[in-house]
Amino acid sequence: MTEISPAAARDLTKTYGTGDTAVPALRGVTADFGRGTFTAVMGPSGSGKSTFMHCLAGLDRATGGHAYIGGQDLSVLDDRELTRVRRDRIGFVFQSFNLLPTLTAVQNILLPLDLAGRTADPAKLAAVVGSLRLGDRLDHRPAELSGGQQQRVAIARALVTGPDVVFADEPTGALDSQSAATLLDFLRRSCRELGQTIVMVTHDPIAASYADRALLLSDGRIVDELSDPTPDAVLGVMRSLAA
Amino acid sequence: MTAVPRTRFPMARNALAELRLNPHRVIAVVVAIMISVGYLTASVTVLAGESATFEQSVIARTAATDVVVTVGAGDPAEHAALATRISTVAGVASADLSFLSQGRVTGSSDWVQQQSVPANPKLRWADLTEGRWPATPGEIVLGSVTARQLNLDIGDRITINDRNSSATLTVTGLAHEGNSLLSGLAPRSFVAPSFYSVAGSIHTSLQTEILVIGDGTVTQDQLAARVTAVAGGDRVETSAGFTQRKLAEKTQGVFIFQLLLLVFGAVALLVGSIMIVNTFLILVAQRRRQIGLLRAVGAGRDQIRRGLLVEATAIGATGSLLGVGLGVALAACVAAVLDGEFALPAGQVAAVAAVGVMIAVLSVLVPARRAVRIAPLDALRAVADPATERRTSLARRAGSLGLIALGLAAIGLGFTDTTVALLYSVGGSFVCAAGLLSATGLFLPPLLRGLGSALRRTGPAARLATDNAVRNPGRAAATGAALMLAVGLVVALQVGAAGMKATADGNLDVRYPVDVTVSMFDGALPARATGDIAAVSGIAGAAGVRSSRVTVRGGGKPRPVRVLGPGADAMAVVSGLHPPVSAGVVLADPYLLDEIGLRDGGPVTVTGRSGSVTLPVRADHLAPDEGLVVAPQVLATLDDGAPVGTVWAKARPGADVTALRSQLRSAVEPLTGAEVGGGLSAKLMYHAALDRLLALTTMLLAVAVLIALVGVGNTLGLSVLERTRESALLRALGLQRRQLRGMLAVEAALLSLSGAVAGIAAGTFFGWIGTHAVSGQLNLENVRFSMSVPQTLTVAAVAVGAGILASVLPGRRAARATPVEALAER
Ligand SMILES: Nc1ncnc2c1ncn2[C@@H]1O[C@H](COP(=O)(O)OP(=O)(O)O)[C@@H](O)[C@H]1O
Ligand SMILES: [Mg+2]
Repeated sequence: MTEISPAAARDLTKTYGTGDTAVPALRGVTADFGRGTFTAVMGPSGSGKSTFMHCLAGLDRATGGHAYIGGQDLSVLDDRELTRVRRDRIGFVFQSFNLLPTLTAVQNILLPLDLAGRTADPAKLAAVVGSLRLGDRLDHRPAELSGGQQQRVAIARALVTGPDVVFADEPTGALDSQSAATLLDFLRRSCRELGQTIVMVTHDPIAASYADRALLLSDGRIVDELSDPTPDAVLGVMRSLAA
Repeated sequence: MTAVPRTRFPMARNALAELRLNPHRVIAVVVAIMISVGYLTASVTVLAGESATFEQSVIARTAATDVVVTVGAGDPAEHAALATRISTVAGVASADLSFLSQGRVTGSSDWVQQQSVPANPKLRWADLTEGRWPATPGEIVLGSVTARQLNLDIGDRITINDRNSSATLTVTGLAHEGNSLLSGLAPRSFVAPSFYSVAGSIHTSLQTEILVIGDGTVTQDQLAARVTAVAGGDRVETSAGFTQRKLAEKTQGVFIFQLLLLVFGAVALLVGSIMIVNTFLILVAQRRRQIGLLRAVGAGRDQIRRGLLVEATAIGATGSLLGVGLGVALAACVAAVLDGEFALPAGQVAAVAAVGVMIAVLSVLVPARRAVRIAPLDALRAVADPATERRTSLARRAGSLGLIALGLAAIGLGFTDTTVALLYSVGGSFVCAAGLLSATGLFLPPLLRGLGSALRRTGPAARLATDNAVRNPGRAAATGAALMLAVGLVVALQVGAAGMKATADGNLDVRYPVDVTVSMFDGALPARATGDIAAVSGIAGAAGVRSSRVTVRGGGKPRPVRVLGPGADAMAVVSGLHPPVSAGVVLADPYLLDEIGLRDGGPVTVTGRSGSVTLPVRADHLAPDEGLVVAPQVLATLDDGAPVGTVWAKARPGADVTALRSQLRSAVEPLTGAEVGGGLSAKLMYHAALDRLLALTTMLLAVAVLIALVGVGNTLGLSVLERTRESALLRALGLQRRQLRGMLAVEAALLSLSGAVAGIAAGTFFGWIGTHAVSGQLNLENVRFSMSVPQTLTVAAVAVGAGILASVLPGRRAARATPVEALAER
């Protein structure tokens, strides 16, 4: 038997609505995300990238097929168990609105551990905070942080629990290119150095070039896969999809 | 070319579209206005009905009459002669005498009013529900409510007496007596006119009238003029003028009642408007980006303001209309239950509805000011500028603290010996309460944090809840203020009433030390009397007291009085802690002391059948009316053969008084010449009056509490709505549904608990001040503080419980959504 992959999808389908207004957003997606890999999920707007991530990460329920996190089939879990999987085995970074405004940066970072009733490993917290250069911002509230800093706090929160996989949905979508580069560099480093599995949804070829692999989605299906994607290669495939 | 549609009122249209699209956001405001307006409408309508019922009872008596002659005190024979003389005046069809008297129901301390019913059938205005009208002097018809109170029925006999005489009558019928809130206060009965002219009856008429009916040939005014000519000095009025005068005399009570209801209505409106302001502030905060966008595309400040005003007017009008419907329906129910008139005072109801709309519009002025400050740039900002939720300004803080200090100073003055103590206390309390309300922003957030810190340890959900509760201090303070006002008023009333009761009890025990006395004017009671009275159920104990008649000599001329010498067994049935009567003192009725010109503590000489003593005299209510009390051995000196002429008895606490009285009556009736007295009735009257007042006011205040709770629910619901994305994020990060619901419940509990705690603290304080002020006004001594802990805890539990309940709906809505639905960009 092969090693259990941190995240996998088998023939995943998702249809929004029913009857005449039904929108098939995913039409059978199968993919594996190996341990310590950094995958970019690419595709034009409306191709089903976010839907794919939501179903795979247990944020939403698929219509058909299976999503696995650490070998666990999410489709058989009830809401309580699914919540626990998200809390303990998955890290999230969203495009915006990642942080609770009432909590300080460090409280936001520790929130998933807090919810689980666990305490953070101080060494790990220090390492994550240090490498994200958040040391002097820990007691600030989100309103007092820049967009880049807010996203870095979100990444710290995603990493500090030591999850099976980190999902990021357009994490750089609302950032300037400088902050975006810093952030993507950090994601790549945590993959290389810590062996963290990362799945990142993006429509930006440059962002995708930080990943080891790019999956290309179109109209709810995986239509292509690139290893060690370069911006030009990605752009080329994207153009061909648009044509 | 296509025609370009042009909208005349873009902002109004926008405002109304807002209401159509998001009705649930303003439902609570509509409900608050509906409750306030409904309450006020019901109040004015019920009062109008009551007044109509009351007027009818006043008018009914002279409805068939054309002219009323009110005759002064004088010889009944002369009155009869006058009536005969009037009946011969041209244009007069009949002239009948009508009497009104009052008598004590012998063997009890109840009073009953007798109204004579003329033999002329046209003048028998009351409706007989059973039996027949009195035809002979020995017959009486009782009001139905009165009969029930006295525990009497047709065929029973009743003895009534006044100072000079007594009469025993047979009940021949029962008359309808409306169960109105205002009438039926005086127990009523009807007798034949001949009742006043026979021997062995009550002769003193308190109000004698001659009811004149014309033959229809002349107007009332002309008839009145003709009657005046023969009436001499007596007052002659047309029946219209007569009823008008009577109504004017009697509507005082209605007015006070009206005032009371309106004051509570105003409280409900105040709580409602705090809530409305709060809701609109939240709505403005939530629409910040939308308003910014409107400004960016060219909407002027006036237009933004006008939009909000239109919205408020629409909300106010909807709430008012619903409220009027609710109130009228309620009043109709009340009229049906009380079997009274239903009258719709259209003008007043319209005014109340207008007030509802006005409150809504006025309440939106402050939020509108905040709305027009929103800059076009706000459309682009994801997070609100902190200035939108500004903290209480320094000036306002100083103002509130100043008000509190001023109020406390005035309350302090109320404790000093001044003739206007009540004014100081009440005025000071108002000022102080206003200060406290406006200072909620200062003390409620710390209170919330304090209460929350106790909960923080229980888990992450409670920690998040605490943070949420204080994230908008202004909003939390306003919500808390509404609840604090409502809870504070209820608790102030409860504490005030409990204190008043305790204080009054102490004073009543001093004023009325003996519950029941049965005594002979002179001589001995039959030997079985003590046993008979002790056997009455509801009597806890009875003891015989020896008594005699003596002469007391103080400053003026000697005066014959009764003297009692209660032994230890008699002192045991005295209420309160009365010390035994010392052999070195004479206790006298304080009024007697006054009458015979004696000084408290001065010497008095008492001379009895077998001896005489000279001792210092002391005023004490233990002495019977116009009588004395001495130690048994002193009585033995005064009259060595003094018989047991009096029985003292103590009522069992909580005994059924109606039953007790009627049994006592039957026990005492066979004892010829025995008279029943004692403080039981007076005490119970005070208690009943206080209880009724407390029940009534608590009920009326419940309306304000209800509105405050709707406000808590609304604030919570809107905050949950506003935090949909936050809830979704928490759910994505691993917060269970149950925990999310728990978080919102804790937040609600914290908000309502802090309001309740502040309200209870303030209410207890003001209740105590009130007890002090009112006791001072009533010359009560030894003011006692008292509060019922279970009652207060109930109020707190209701407030917190309802707050948690209010979190259920928003909590369910927040927890139902999947994390993705809520994260979706809107
Ligand atoms: N909640 C929803 N209800 C209906 N249709 C949806 C919903 N979310 C997404 N869709 C549709 O599903 C398709 C895929 O959407 P999405 O996964 O958001 O694409 P991407 O993230 O690649 O832009 C689109 O056609 C979109 O309109
Ligand atoms: Mg997307």
